[in-house]
Amino acid sequence: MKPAATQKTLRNKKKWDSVKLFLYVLPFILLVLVFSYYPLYGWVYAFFDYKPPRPFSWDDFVGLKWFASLVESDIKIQQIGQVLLNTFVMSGISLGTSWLPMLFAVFMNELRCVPFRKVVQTVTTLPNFISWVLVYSIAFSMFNSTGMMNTLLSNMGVISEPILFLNQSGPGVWLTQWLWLTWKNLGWSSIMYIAAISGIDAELYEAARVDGATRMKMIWYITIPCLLPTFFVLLMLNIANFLNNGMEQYYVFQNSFNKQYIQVLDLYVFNTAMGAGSYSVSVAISMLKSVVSVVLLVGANTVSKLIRGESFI
Amino acid sequence: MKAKRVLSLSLAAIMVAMSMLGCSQTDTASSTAEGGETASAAGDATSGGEEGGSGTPEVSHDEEVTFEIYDVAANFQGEQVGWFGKVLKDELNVKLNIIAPQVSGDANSLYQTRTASGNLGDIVILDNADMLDCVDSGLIMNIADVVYSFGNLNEYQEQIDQFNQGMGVGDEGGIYAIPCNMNNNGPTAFVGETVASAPRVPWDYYVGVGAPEMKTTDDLLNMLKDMMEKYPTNSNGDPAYAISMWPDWDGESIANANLIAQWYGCMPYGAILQTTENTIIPLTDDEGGYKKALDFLFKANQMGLVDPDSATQDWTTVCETKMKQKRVYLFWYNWQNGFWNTPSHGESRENYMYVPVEELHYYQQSDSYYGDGRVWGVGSSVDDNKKLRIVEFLDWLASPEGLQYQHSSLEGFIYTVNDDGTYTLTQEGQDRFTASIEVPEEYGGGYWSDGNDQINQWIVGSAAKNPLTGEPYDPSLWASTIEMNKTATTNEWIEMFGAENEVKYMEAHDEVTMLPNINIPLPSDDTDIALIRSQCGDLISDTSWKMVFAADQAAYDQLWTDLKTQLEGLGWDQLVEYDTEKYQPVVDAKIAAME
Repeated sequence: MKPAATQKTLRNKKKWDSVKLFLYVLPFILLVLVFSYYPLYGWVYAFFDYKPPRPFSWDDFVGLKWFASLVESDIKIQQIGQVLLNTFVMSGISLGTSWLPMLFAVFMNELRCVPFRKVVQTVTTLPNFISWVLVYSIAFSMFNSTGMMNTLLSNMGVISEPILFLNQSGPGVWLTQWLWLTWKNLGWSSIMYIAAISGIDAELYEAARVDGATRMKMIWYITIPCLLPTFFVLLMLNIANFLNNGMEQYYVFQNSFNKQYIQVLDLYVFNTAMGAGSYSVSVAISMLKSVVSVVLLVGANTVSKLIRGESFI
Repeated sequence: MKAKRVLSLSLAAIMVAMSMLGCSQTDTASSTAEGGETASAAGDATSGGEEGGSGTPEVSHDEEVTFEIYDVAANFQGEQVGWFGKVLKDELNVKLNIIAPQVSGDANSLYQTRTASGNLGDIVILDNADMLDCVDSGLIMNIADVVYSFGNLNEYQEQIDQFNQGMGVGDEGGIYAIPCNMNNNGPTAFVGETVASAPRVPWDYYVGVGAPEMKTTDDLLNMLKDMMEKYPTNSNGDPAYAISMWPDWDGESIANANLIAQWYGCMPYGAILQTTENTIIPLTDDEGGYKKALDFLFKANQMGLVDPDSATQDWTTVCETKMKQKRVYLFWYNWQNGFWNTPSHGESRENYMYVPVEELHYYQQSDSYYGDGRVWGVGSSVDDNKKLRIVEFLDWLASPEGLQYQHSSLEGFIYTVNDDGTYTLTQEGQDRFTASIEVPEEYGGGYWSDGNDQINQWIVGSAAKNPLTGEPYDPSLWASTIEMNKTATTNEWIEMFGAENEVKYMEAHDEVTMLPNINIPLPSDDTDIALIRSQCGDLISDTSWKMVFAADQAAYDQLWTDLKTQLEGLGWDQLVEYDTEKYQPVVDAKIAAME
């Protein structure tokens, strides 16, 4: 009798324990459901002809009309194609150079003069806290026809007519935008690596030094390999987030001359929805954005598997 | 240990509860939405049941009532305070709580949430097309039973009835909307001293380059070139340009070119141009005003007259650092003058003045007799008592007394009454927009501008004639003010051109066509058209800027040809056809009103 009862209480206790554990996670599951899955419900708008303030009704169901309208004429295909190209190229450049913050952190770590290092770190971190709107006004005052750059160049006698930097057109826009992004983010992104570097076992360096390794060799054989796991985690996060952070920068920098090369998906969605209240079309396009995200994520995962033999999803 | 477990469990419970709370928010929202619908149904039933207005209804003012007013024109959110707040409290025992989508940060989502909840506000001020949608969705109340019961709105019955008949939604014979900015001067009257868009230049510089007589826009450009050569910088040494523009107001075409199109007798509306001959042509017509405006700007840029930053600077930059610093020599909007023209600049002959160019013929709308494109309505969820109070308030706003407060402000403080019954601005009145004027405690205290009518929209516009004075309500149009504002500049101008003001000059030389300002409720675009409009608009604006800054004539022509080809691929023809049909009734009404 007694042992059975004990067993029962034990089982109950175990059960209760697992319920308790579940309760611990439940809030987070709910949060994810509410904020990450429930919004997917909004995708239904892509299949309706929705126009506020008219209430949503089944009468307005239009099926795949909006998806079809994206590709109904050559001009539109060309436009969407260009937008996708811009998105991929700019993502590509950005991801392809995502090792820059790591390198920056490594070299900064090698600076022996501590006050100088602190100054460099502060100066490079600060731009991250400036909003894109302000970045554009800085850009405008530096690069307009009577701005600092043009005044400097004409005073030096290099140019006689002002160069209109902001009216730039052509694929160079991609590079310029990447430079702005890097200027703003480099210092901030390197913080994670600086933290990781301080976590590397100092004995490794001591041993290497005893073995006669140079500073370059220590970087190459110790620091960088120790940073790689961090790098790959951050790379994955970047891939997942890239398409979400893109818009503000391009929104403030866009003008009639660079629009063709600056319009990424997010911006295109914004321009379409805000310009015309075409919510349904915007939803349809933003679903494309999710497709791009998945492609990028799977791509990165495959690459990681190929190179390092381990995947992160 | 146990305490710890209890603590962690209760924390978990709290978090669960909180996240549930997060979910239940939607439930509350949807239940209010249902509540709103029931309320609106009830509202319809009661309004339908009441009898048509006979005699002024009894309205008790014993109880203070607060109106929530959803106002697309307001630049202020919150309770109306100060002198105007006091007037409303004293006259009608009314308080206003203004909801301003423009201030809220995200106008679109505010509109959507409030419409989804079924209650936009007690009083609603919307653009015509939105009002159509809202009446259609049952958000607006029929006020036909009481609207003409109080006596003052009756004066505008023709315009109000015509507008409501034109809406084609809601009950037959129902009154849902009252147009904004109507007047009592007749459909083709124009009381202003300036037209909306015309070339205006600094008077001293114009005289400085020999005050040339100009026959064509090429003469105008040459004159501007002389001006730039003779006066290359402002007094601080900053470079000046004849023309400086800004892209942030662009919509379906570039805003600045739209204004210049009016010089060629064309007014852009969406994808079409209305002409002074009352015809409709596509915006991209080779002979149309928009193309001519682009030609003008392209030529100007070839001559080095256009500020190279025009396509990248925003309005604030151009206004603060250029217009207010006399670094721009050609103005076209009539209100742009306000950034430079002052009595002291007038005395030193520096004010911007209109200069005639013989070949131009301006498109000008008369004052908005029929209303200006926005409307007032009453929310469908107010009860009968509140409905009466609201209509009474709207009627007061349209009464001579209410209008004097709205347009002329406070007697004895802002203006005084002359012996002949007309009004003169006091010193406070003259400075009311430019300085911080403190209002005496007896009138409500605070600063004048803080206490000014924050609704920022009027049922009857300031151009309307005040029956008490025989002059418009607008203080700037009083004979006393016009006399007060005469300066060396205006005197010289009058002497040179032999007319009282630019409008009189244009009328005398047959340079302007005054078209009736028709206010017909036009439907908002369906989603297909809206998409085509947005995509075509982006393309037109972008290409227009590229054209203005094109390297040479060949590149310019090529861009125009490419634009037309690309537009075809986006459905431009469909849009032009849609807009032609949409605006045909307006043109027809104009022709009818001119007969």
